[in-house]
Amino acid sequence: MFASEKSSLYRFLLIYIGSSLFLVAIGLVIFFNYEKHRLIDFQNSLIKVQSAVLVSELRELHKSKEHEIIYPKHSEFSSAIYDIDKNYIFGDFHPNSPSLDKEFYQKNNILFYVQKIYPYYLGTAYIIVQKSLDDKPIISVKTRLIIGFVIVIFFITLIAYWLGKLFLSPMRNSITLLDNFIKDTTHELNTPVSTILTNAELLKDFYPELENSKELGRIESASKRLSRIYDDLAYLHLNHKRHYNIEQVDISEFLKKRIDYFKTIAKAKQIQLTYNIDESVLLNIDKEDITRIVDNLLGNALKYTLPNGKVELVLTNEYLSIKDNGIGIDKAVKDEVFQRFTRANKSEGGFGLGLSIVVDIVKYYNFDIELQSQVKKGTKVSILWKK
Amino acid sequence: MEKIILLIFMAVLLFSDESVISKCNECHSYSPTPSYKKIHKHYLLKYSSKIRVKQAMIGFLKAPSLEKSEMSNGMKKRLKPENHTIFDDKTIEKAVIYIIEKEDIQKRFKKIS
Repeated sequence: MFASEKSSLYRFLLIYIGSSLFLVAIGLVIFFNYEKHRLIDFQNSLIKVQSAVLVSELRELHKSKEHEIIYPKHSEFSSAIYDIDKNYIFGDFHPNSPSLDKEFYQKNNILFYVQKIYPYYLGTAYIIVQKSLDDKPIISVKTRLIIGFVIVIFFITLIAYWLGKLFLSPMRNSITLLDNFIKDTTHELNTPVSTILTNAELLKDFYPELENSKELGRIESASKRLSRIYDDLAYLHLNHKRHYNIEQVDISEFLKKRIDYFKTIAKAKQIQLTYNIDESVLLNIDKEDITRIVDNLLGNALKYTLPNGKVELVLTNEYLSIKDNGIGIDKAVKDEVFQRFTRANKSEGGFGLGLSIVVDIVKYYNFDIELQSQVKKGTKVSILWKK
Repeated sequence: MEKIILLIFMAVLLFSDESVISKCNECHSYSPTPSYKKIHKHYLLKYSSKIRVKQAMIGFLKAPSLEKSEMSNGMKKRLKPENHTIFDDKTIEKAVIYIIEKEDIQKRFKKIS
């Protein structure tokens, strides 16, 4: 699975499963609350019936001629009676600050029912009946809902994974196609580009009078550009398969050699290429990676600088900066230029790979990259080594 | 000596709780006048709390009338309550308190152990 495909699949799974579970959870919470209230209402209705029984018992006691009154006791619930002024008369429990104005209420898993009665048998104006909430049916509903939720999670995940794969298959096909195309192109480009470059150099060696030939210079410049495109494509294609060979590299020496390589291009475009390189700047890096950084930054600077322009390269122990007075980058697209296949300006050829490769390498080595640019004034790209 | 004993006896009789309703007993001891228990229950059924029962009883005894009477219509016709009080306020209050305390529901309630 490709990295982009994997991240898209994960994002899809996260959104799909997250939103589905959120909706299911809302539904289950509503259902649970409905069921809970239904079960509590059922228990409340039982208390109401028990309270009615108590009222009829009080009525009988009121009629009784006995001096001593035995308070009715029931095993399923407790009760207490109050007079019209809310004074406690008697009961088999004595509630603390009871709320006689509410018909039903609940306190710490105990259900209370208050019934107002008239006439006041034995002076009773309020009967308060309490009963412990039987939470077994509620727990049973909760358990069943949790089991249901787990099963739903399982099925939603399965469906999401299947859907994700299904929707991503066109993207996978496109990526495979592009990958194969890049692989074939790089393979096919390598030999002719190398042949052109080698022969152009040989021509200069065999015929010294051609050293300053404009035509040969253009052939060399164009083939070097082609070579860099090949290198970028090969890097992109082989990057995830290659073995990193990180070693101490003298960047100062390395840069001087690369400047020599780019001099032909600068000369062909009549661009003034200047540099200020501190001696013995050492970095632990794979040579291929520093080559990609320098070639892409310098290549871009030369590509987007107009003839008779100026490119300036500075290397210190802290940073490498390449500044040009070229066409610059529009503010609106400044943040997008680091994305793959994105080109800020289409006036020149290219695939929009260079800066994305540079950013990948910068991230890998934990460097920093800064881009300052103004349209028609130029661009400055700096890599901070952060040693 | 006999005089002193007689005086003490008279004083006890005069200030004891029972003595408070002795005048009431002249009628209420005999049928068909209702017993204090019955009267108290009638008042409880309508007024509920001790304070309200006391106020209603005193109110009736201070100014008895057919309208204020809690008796059933049949009893009213038969007994025809007086339309003027026959006791002074102090006696009425003492008698009412005595009856309410004696018939106090709270004291009469018992729990099954």
